[in-house]
Amino acid sequence: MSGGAHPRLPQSLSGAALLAVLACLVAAPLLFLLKLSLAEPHFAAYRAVLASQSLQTVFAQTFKLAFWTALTCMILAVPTASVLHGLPTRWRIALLWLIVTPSFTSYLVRTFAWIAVLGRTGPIQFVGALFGYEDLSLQGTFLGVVIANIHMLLPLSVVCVYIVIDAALKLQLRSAAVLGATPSLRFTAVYIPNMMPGILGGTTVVFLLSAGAFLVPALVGGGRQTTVAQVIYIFATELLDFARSAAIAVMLTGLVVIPALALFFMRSAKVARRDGALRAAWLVARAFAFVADSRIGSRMISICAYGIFAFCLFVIAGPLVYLVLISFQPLPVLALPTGELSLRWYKAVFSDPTWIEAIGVSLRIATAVGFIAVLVGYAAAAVSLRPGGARLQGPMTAVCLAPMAIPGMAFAFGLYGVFLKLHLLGTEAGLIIAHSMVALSFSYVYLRAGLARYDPWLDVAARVLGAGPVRAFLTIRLRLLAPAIGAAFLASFLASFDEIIITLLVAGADVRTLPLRMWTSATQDIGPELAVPGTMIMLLSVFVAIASMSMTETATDDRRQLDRKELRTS
Amino acid sequence: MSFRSCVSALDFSQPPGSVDAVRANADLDEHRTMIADRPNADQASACSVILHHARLAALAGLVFGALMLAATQLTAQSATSDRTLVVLGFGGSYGQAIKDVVIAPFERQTGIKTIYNETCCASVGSAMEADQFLADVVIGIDYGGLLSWANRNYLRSDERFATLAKECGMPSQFVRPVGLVTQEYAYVIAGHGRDQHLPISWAQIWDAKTFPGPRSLNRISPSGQMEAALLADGVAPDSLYPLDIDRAFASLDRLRKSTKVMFAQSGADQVNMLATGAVEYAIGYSNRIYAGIRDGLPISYTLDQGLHTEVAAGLFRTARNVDGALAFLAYQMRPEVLSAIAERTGLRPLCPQMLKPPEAGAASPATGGKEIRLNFEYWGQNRESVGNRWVEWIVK
Repeated sequence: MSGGAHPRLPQSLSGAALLAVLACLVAAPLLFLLKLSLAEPHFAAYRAVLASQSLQTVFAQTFKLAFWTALTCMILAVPTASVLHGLPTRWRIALLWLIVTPSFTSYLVRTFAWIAVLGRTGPIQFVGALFGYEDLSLQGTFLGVVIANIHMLLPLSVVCVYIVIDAALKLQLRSAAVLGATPSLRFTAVYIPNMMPGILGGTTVVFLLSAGAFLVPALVGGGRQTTVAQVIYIFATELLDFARSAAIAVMLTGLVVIPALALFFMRSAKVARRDGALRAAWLVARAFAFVADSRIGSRMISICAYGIFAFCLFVIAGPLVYLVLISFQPLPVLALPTGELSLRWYKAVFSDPTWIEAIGVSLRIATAVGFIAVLVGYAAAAVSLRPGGARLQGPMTAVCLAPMAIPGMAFAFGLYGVFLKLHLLGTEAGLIIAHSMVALSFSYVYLRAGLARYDPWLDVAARVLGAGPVRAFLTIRLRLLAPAIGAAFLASFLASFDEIIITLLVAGADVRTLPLRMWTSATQDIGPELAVPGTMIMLLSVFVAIASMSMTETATDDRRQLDRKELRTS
Repeated sequence: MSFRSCVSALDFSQPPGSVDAVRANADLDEHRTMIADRPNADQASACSVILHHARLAALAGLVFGALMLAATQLTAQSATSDRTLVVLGFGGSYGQAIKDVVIAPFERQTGIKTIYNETCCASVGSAMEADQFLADVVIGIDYGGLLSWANRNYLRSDERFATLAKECGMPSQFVRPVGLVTQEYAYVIAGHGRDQHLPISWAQIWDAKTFPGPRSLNRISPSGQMEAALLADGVAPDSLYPLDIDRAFASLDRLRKSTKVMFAQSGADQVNMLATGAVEYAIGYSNRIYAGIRDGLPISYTLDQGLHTEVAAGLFRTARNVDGALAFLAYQMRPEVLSAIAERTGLRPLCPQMLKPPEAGAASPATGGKEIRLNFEYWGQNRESVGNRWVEWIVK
């Protein structure tokens, strides 16, 4: 097949070329921001930002929001993931889907639901009134924004922790038990240290995403909770002060990406940290072993864990149920219908062609993005996993994950400037490229995980056994990688279907996507109308969840039967 | 390598993709070290299979991407032909009314295909700075905002504006060099509840002891609210301009110290907060409150000390279809169309013979001794500097 004295040269060239193209795509928006922020002489824009006490407050508030969100998410996610793991298979899959499904539902719709939930007529206020509290409305409070933000990111943290719990960890836990470790010791000395990668990774991602938060504070913050992303948007679109906006974007990117990069390189010191964590865990275990290992103590702890688990389910799914009820409100106000139910808003949405058109545009764009992201993500993952290509691996991962790590609004503003030069602004092509870059982060992660588990010798085996290259690819590689490819496509599709921040700046008058239509509805027409498409999307994602759940179940059954058959034949 | 060694390298008892991920990973690492250690044909065959597919995938991706780009470029170009008119404006109930009573009949009568872009006005600045086409005409925008765009050279003037204004008999003070004034509304004292006993002056709105409860201001622009703050602080209506900005912010500080202050993101947000009782009083837009009352919401407003201001239409510098835009504005200025808009949105026409419809009259700020009008010259010049301070004050 290859032979030759230098088989590696053209291969590493193609990998390097791909890396270079992707790196240019990611770097261009950042360079644009940098150039724009330096447009005025003597760093005037930066000095104006640094001199403003209000903007310093905004930066502090943004990082406060990110910190509390990341911390709370992780505190909630660890017990939730471990409770999930203790459940019987059927329940585990069902509840995992219940936690994950809301992530498939539109981000904007979920944010919108929180306006209603936190509001004066919302359930929190209602419960408060029963206990005699007059004003428990969390609308426009820091706590309200944190809660809504936790709702958005909790599924992600649970999944991050959940996926590191695997069969090997279960085995270790069993061994620890056999060797006489108490439950508390098992938890603190085996469980937590093994989950550290998931916990750290999840916390980092949640922190990065909340540091760039735009939608939640903009819609739930009641104008009182302002984040940096909002300020970038306000300066760029309302005050038309582009240099200052770019300077803020550059500063936010620097403040967010530098710690992330530091974490990324710190992973080489993983062993040392694990030792440290072990020692700390040992101390904690000794301190709490007395309580936790007594019969009452352990029962109380498991009750607490189940309580947290139930609370998480409630926080994740509750607002969506509330939104469904609101869609039947007869008046144009975001509150539960008190008297009769009305289908007024359903009629309004179904008679409005802009909704239908917007769904068509979004489906078209998201499908294209799904294909592009999967193909490019596959190539990038293959390059980074290539034996002997270790040098490309780090940069490739960094480049592919950058669009997710860079705060969305900063990236959007930078992309906007680049597209301006390339005349891609307001075109579907431009939007597809922009969305593909964001989706690439997801597809790369899924495909890299899939490819890392894939045994390349299977290809060799197929070829040796007489399959042609195409047949070997289709029947072996593609089939075995199908779950990873499917997941990558779905994630990319959803990333595009749900994208609003980049779309807000990059899509012009002609490209009207569904999130853009929803944004108009959410900002200019706060009423139950948006609850209708929200309900529709929710029903659809529940349907998809149930369908894929039963599909995975049949797939595992098939796999089990297949395994059994193979065992018998061998 | 031989068939046997190849088979033995594969661990058949461990199908890939099974639950034992750690084991599988370890296996893979083992293979990789094997591969890395053997600089011969084994390596080449294993790598080249991966690479072959990676290259195939990349190639297919590029071809597919190129096809997609070409297809979308074609559809995008066909979407906006020269005859198409793009109107920029706000969405919500206002946008729906414009679509129903202006755009649909206008398209029917003239055959000019009209697209209504209801995302005003996030992309205006960026599009104009880049000399790009965004829309032909903007409607329903605050006159002060229109002026600040004009100062930045985003707009083009047209003498036909004055003709249109004079045709409907508009008082000469509203016939301006830039843009076309179409209607008016007012910043009014608004409250939660239908039969609310409302404060009748801004000073009372600032008095949280007599009138307790959260207030809402409007985040989007300081205009109207600076005036209200100064009136609340005891400045006489005749000596408002030029605004004493420091005094206004001091007055706002006082309000914020005495009670909870929310910031409405839009007219809809303002109405929703009032209707749900999230706030007790608001600096409201008369037209939005009117439309809310018309929809049966439990809110109310008073015209006492209302601060009147105009909404206008303007032509963008990069407009492609100027004649179409003018035809559109002429259609919008027809008496029956303005009356229909007034009935749906509460925006009051400024042409005297059109003040007749009772509902529009009820919606409109009463003309009379108490009318205070925003100074558009002041706001045209100071919108950005005051706007900057306003943003800083909000996030403080």
